Formats: sequence, C-alpha cells, structure tokens
Amino acid sequence: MRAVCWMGAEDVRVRSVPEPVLQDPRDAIVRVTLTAICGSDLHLYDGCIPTMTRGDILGHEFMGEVVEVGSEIDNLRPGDRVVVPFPIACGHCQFCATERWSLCDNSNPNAAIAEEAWGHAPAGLFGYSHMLGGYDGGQAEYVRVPFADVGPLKVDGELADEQVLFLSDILPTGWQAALNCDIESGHVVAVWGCGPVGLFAIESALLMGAHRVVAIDRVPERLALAREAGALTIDYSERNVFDELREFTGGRGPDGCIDAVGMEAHGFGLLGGYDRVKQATMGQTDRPTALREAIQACGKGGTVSIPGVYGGVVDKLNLGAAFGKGLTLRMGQTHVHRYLPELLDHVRAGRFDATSLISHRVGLEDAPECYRMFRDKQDGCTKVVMKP
Amino acid sequence: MTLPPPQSHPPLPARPSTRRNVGRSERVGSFAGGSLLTWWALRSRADLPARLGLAALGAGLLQRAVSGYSPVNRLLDRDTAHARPNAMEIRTAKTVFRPREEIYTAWRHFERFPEVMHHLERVTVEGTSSHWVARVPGGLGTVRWDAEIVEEEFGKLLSWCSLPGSTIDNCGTVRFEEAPGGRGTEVHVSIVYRLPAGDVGRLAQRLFGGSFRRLVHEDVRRLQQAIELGRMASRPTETLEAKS
Ligand SMILES: NC(=O)c1ccc[n+]([C@@H]2O[C@H](COP(=O)([O-])OP(=O)(O)OC[C@H]3O[C@@H](n4cnc5c(N)ncnc54)[C@H](O)[C@@H]3O)[C@@H](O)[C@H]2O)c1
Ligand SMILES: [Zn+2]
Ligand SMILES: [Zn+2]
Repeated sequence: MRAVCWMGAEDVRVRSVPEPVLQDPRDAIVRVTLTAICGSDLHLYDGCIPTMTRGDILGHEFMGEVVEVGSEIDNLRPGDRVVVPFPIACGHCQFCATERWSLCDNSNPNAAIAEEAWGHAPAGLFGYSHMLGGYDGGQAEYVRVPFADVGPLKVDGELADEQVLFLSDILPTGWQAALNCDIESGHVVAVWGCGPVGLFAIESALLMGAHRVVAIDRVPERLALAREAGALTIDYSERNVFDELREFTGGRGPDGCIDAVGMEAHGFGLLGGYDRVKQATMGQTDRPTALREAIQACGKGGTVSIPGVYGGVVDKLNLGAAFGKGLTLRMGQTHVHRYLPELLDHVRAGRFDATSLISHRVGLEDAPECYRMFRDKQDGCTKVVMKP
Repeated sequence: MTLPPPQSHPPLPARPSTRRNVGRSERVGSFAGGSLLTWWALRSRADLPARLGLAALGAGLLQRAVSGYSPVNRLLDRDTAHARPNAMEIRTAKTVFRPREEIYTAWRHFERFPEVMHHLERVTVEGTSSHWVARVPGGLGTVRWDAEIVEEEFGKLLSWCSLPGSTIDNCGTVRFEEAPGGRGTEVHVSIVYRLPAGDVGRLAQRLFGGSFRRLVHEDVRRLQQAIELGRMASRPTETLEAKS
C-alpha cells in the first residue's frame, strides 16, 4: 500500500509499504478514507521530535472503514465507518478509568524512553515517534488500530468525512483548550495561533460562553478565519500584543490565555537531556514566544491553557509572572475519547464549522508538497486533507 | 515529616553462592569481556528491549566472570578473593490498577514471568522453590539460578533469596499496598544483588547498576500491563512491542 513516510527532517515521501496485519485480538484494521496533516506533524517534519526513524509512517488524524477486526473486538464490524482518536488508550488502567486517555499507562511500548525524558510516560500516539509508541500512522491506505474496542467512534453516513474527520484531534484539542480555561460569563479569552487548533479553540470558547475572544496571528487568511469564527484579531507582526490585550480588557488582562502555537519549529530535544536542548536552542532566542507572551498578558488569577506541543526545556519563561499573578497553567495532549459523544452532537447540530478551514484537498501523493506548504503557511494553506 | 525508612529491606544473600577461586588478573580479563558485551549492548542499534536484555546479560556475564568461580581453578584447587562482598540494591515501584490479591497471585506465579519478560527463558516452580533460566541475547547461552521463598504473606508480601550455587546471587522483596484514592495497588520491589568484593564489584555496580535498574523497572511494567490488560492468560503482549 502507499503511505506517507518520514525520511528525515523536511523529507517526507510517499512509499510502498506492506499492509498492516492484525497483531493482537484487540486490533482492527481500518481502510483510511480521509486523513489530515496536523500542526503537530510539522514538529516531526522540522525534525524537532527525536526518536523518529527513517521510514516511519506519519499521520494521527484519520478516519475510515473497518476492514478487519481481532477476535476480541465485538463493538466493531467490517464496514463500520469510524473516526479514530489520535492517542491510543487501553481502557483498563487507572488513567483510562478516570477518562485521562492521553495518559494511558499501557499503550506506549517504549515508555522507558519517555520516562527518561519526562519522568513518566504518556500514552502512545499514532505516527508520532518511537518515544510515543512507534505506531504506524494513518496517512496511508490502511492502518492498524490497537485497542480498537476503546478508541474508534462509529459515525453514521449522514455526516460527510470532512465534517467528522477533525474529531480525531484538532476539534477536541481546541475544545479541551477552552475547557481548561474554566470560562465564566464575562470572561475574555485570548488565543495565540489561528491555525486549526486555535480556530477550534475560538469556536469552543464562544460556545462555552466567553464574552469575547481575541485571536493572535500574523497570517492574513488565518486571521480572517478567526474573525469568521467570531473572534477579534490582533496581527502580532503589526501590533504590540500585550498592550492591545490590556487595552481591550480595561487593564485586567484576559481571563483565559490559550497557547495554540507550541514549540513549532523549535528544536527542543526530548531525549538529549538539558545539554543537548541548550545546544539545540542556541541562537534561537525567541522560541516559546507565544507562551511567554500569554503568561505576561494573562490577567491576575487567570488561566494559561497550553494545547500547543512542547517537548523539552524552555528558556526564559517568566515563572515569577505566573506566580505573582496566581495563574493556573494547564496543558497536555488531548483526552480525545472523553469529548467525542458531546462533540459529535455539536457537529450534528452544526455548532462547529468543521470544513471551512480546509484549504487543500489532495491525494497522498501530494503530501511532500503539502507538508512544506503548510509549514511555510504558503498558498493560503490552512489545513490539508488527503484522500488515500 | 520524613519519608519512612524502607519497611522490609531484603536481606543480603546469606553467603556467597559460589566459591570464589579466580585470581585477580583472570578476573580483570573476564571483566573486560563482560564490559565489552555490555558496551556493545548499549551501543547497538537493536530495539530497546533487546538492548536492555543484552546489557543485562553483559552485566550478568560480567558478574559471573568476576564472581570468581572457575571450574578450572577448582580442579587446580586455586582460590583467592575472600573479602567482604558488595551489594547492589535496586528498587522500583508501580501502581497497578487492580486489587492486591489479584496482583499478588499473578506475581506468585513466577512460572509465567517468561510470558512477559523476554529475557527469561523458563521458570519452574515447586512449592516455595523455583528454578530460573535467563536467556543471553544473541544466542550466547543461558544463565540459571535457584531461588527459595523466604517469606510470604498472601496479598501483602513476598520475599525470596537465591540458593547457594546460583550464578545470579540475589534476594528480593515485593510489597503490595493499597494505593490511596482507589487507584489500585502499589507494588514496591526491592532486589539486592551480591557483587564481587572489592573494587571490581564496586566498578561493576557503577557501570551496570543503571541497566539492571532499567531491566527490573521494565519487568515490573510488563507485569503491570499484562495484569491490567488481562494478557497473562492468553499470550505475550506482542502488541506492546515496538514495531520493528
Ligand atoms: N495538545 C494536543 O493534543 C494537540 C493536538 C493537536 C495539535 N497540537 C499542537 O497545537 C499547535 C497548533 O497546531 P495547528 O495544527 O493549529 O498548527 P499550525 O502550524 O497550523 O498553527 C500555528 C499558528 O501559530 C501561528 N504563530 C506562530 N508564532 C506565533 C506567535 N508568536 N504568536 C501568535 N501566533 C503565532 C502561526 O502563524 C500559525 O498560524 C501545534 O503545536 C500542535 O502540535 C496539540
Ligand atoms: Zn494533531
Ligand atoms: Zn489505559
């Protein structure tokens, strides 16, 4: 089958690889009907996530049709149409039992590597490095889905692929980012980054009753999408974000600040320990820019919610500001499974505009070009979906 | 309040399980071989479990090499080294989301450890005694030892010691405690390995303590996963293996 493979930094290729087979009674094989490139994939593309190896199949946002199930799977049958959450969760550990699916104890076979870097290991993810499981991703014709009795969400034929695909990651991620702000009426929420995650965070915050949402980016078409979603926008290349936010909130600062930018192309080593990280970040003085700004701008007693991915040590983070203002910091990979039923209802009811952020509809063979385009925010590229 | 001291520090193996009779220069030579193997393990590009296995093997071989017993020497009736041995203690802990009794029972079935711990080839159990055969990666053979349960309290505690004549001389204790907040059972493992006396033993500990610790930690994790996923019963947890 054809699959999008990571061949090194800034080098993804479509290759012929063996089709996946069932390896466990709880596996399912899914024929992918639609898959997307995520901002998180760009961190892989730029080579800043270690423990990728040449030939790894990329992709953690995908949906498709079940073609084969293991002997212990009785909730799915061949022919079922499913959306698959990007974190892999076993359903039996203390974290799964408490709905903290992205922290599953049993889905990361390479937990030891993650423990070395982070002390404890989170769940395995599809197509997202060996330290996070080494699982083949879904930017392919077929994919093996482990613990298929836990993750996949069945969707009926009423909704188009494009309407439900983003339940696999970015919609729940934007939702959790907003949820983590504990929004109350009257709250102002600021969102750094108007990529897909930021856009869904804007929509979510408004649905949760935020008084106003202010969105920050510099890419015109992304800022336009943010306005369409209902936000006021600040172009950070033109305006001072801190001043604008203070002004807008009557001096209070936003109640919730969402960093939907993350490490982006910032070379924080996950594994190499502090020295390597320091080395890798040498000469990159403004890396966690959005996070620094969010902490600085956030109003007293507010919350900084961080869906943007970070991998390692960051420099010059003003913890004193967070402490002094009594901020709450919340972050992490999304517990996708937890929000699916609720979000599916929202999608059905048309409360989310899941499709207008899609700028490119292509086949797998266009992946190399689209990775570059999406990374460089060229050609109006806001989200790429691929039909294998 | 300070942390309480370890509740049941396992005893050091009562006496050296093998007679030491290898001279210093021979020991150094064996040591070099063992080191090389371990170095190789650490540098190899194989996947992590294999490397850990290899490292453990290197350490095991090394320990064996420097434990100072040689049949040749015995024939020649040579004997050296009678200093106080070094001990290396390895501790690890995991919280398993299951009741104490269930985990205890799974643990007590040593004979099933090889289903999840790939460096073990075979464990046979007879009452309170057990015989262990561990694989040396790369098809380089096996190491074996006998162990005896020295203390056992259902659902709470299990202690064992290797018997005289073992290649791998160790005593261990596992305590099972209810985790606060209904989060299952805390499994506290402590294993003490006897190392050769003197500088050689201390050096071995410095060099290989880390890989032993990781191996024990991985073993406990595998057991956790097998118990939580109910996989002990049917098959090894291949799905938890890294893709090649
Ligand atoms: N927590 C999770 O589970 C999860 C899930 C999906 C994605 N993510 C992460 O969310 C982040 C965003 O993902 P995406 O798909 O929207 O990516 P994206 O690359 O499309 O969007 C990032 C946006 O941030 C903007 N940006 C860059 N620097 C900025 C700055 N200093 N201030 C304001 N905006 C800035 C860029 O112009 C871009 O529009 C990534 O780090 C991704 O890895 C996390
Ligand atoms: Zn993603
Ligand atoms: Zn789990």
